[in-house]
Amino acid sequence: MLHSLLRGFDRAAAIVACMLVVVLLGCVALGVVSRGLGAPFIWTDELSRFLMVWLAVAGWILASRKRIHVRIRYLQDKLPPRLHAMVETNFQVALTIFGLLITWYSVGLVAKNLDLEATSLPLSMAWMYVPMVLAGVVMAMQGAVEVVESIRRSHSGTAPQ
Amino acid sequence: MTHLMVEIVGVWLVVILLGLPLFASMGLAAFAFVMLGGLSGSIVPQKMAQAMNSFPIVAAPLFILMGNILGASRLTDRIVAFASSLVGALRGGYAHASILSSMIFAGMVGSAVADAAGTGAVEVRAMKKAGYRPETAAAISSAAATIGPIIPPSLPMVIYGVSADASIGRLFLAGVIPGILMGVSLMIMVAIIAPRQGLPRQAFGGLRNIWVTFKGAGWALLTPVILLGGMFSGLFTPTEAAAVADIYALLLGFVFYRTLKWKDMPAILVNTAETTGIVMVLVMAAGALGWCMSISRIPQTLAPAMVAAIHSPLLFLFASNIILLLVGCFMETLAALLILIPILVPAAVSFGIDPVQFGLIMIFNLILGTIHPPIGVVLFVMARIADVTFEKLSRAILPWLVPLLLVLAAITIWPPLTLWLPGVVMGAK
Repeated sequence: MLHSLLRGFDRAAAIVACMLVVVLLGCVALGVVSRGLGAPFIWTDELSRFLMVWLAVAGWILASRKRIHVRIRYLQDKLPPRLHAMVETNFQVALTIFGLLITWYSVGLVAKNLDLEATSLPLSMAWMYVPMVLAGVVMAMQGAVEVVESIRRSHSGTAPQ
Repeated sequence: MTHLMVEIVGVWLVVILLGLPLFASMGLAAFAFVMLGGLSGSIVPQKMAQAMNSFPIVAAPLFILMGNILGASRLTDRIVAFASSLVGALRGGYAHASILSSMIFAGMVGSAVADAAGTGAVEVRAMKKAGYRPETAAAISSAAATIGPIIPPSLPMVIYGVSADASIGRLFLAGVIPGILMGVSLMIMVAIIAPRQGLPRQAFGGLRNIWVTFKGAGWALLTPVILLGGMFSGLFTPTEAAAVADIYALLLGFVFYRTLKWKDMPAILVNTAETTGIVMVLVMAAGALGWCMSISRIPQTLAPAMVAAIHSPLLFLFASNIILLLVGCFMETLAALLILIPILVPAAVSFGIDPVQFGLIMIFNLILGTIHPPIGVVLFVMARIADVTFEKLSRAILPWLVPLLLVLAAITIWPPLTLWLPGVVMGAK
């Protein structure tokens, strides 16, 4: 059940990320074309900046789900298995805390920016911070699940993946 | 606040070395600073999001997309064939062709790994078939791949430009001469070792062969012309040039060469989003931590201290080269760039060093780490392509570092190598 839910989430996140790449490309290209035609749209720059925030966060979520973020494993990989697992569990706790902090303070940012409108778009500036909330939630949930799994593994004596 | 930041940075470096994902370690360090310093925690997500709220940074995913489209369009065979027709008849012709192909491909993609993965397979296969030792073939292709982020477009230059507030256009132009010098120096190295190792030459196919291979690769060869021509004629900004180049790359794949299929697109787009996420979350976290550092006046304290301790700009550059080469051996290029920019760039400016020249020096040093053990990512890619062990390739690459280090020394000592072309094309600052 949990696995099929996660698969569905990953698929949805990938589709959203792909759409963001396409729309971002279209938006920047539209800015060039409209300027070339002598009637430049004033909103393409600002919209592409909004899309950039969303794309960066969508990519962050995808990379978090696949655990492919940059980290220096050189020293950790030299640790004995038990210590390695312990360090990893602590890192997952740190990631969970980071996710919770991002979520908590981003919700505050969204609330504070609800009434502010973008310069050239009829959009609330809160949309700039909404993806941060999503990223925080995903990171906190993933970190928490991995902490539980690693504790369960250490009790059952199975090796980490 | 300076003391607080110094303590936090100390803990942060330890957890980085222990293996906590880099973005999280930077983000947590920023949270620790604002909370212990009595500031609002909402500053951290705000600075993270604001790091993306910039039009120049939009160039990054668009250049990543271009590299992925060109990679999937399988244009490398045509480029390698054209390069072989030009220089294949020299002794060690396959090696010369490999270096020239990488230089051409560098004008289309902006990363060493993309260059290695793109042209590496074709080049290494050709060299092995011609009797080169696999580790020699892989070493030549690895060294040539480092030209990728130096000749524009370049992802590290976009990140440096945004983070250090330097002109991306000037940085792109500043990379042209060093990139060509890298290629020429590697070719000189081939010319020196070719007779000793008995590296073969290809039969010269004549001008007709050059014309035929040029026609085959002509549309692809126009990519850097469109990209750089558009940018420096004032038609597009670097971000817009990236979008135009993306559309041109799609035309190449779907219309001109018909090597790209619709079913390739989901993988291209997902890969683009993932790579964007991996890189951009680092930029976001570095944005938050960089703000904390500037509030705590770390760069403002460090820069005069460095000037007082070192005195000479040349000595500072020498020390920076050593630090960057060492860091590059252990840390991913963009991550190292983002961590070191707030520390080294203000000091370089205090010494009167142009941030564009210093950017090139930083990127060059860190890129050399990608072909150097223990975590040389280009070596990993190339070892798999050439089917040699990482250890064997790590030894084989050593002589090829010499010409690249000489070019690094040249751009360090003589600023016109990096600053002359931007001055001519874009005028004095």
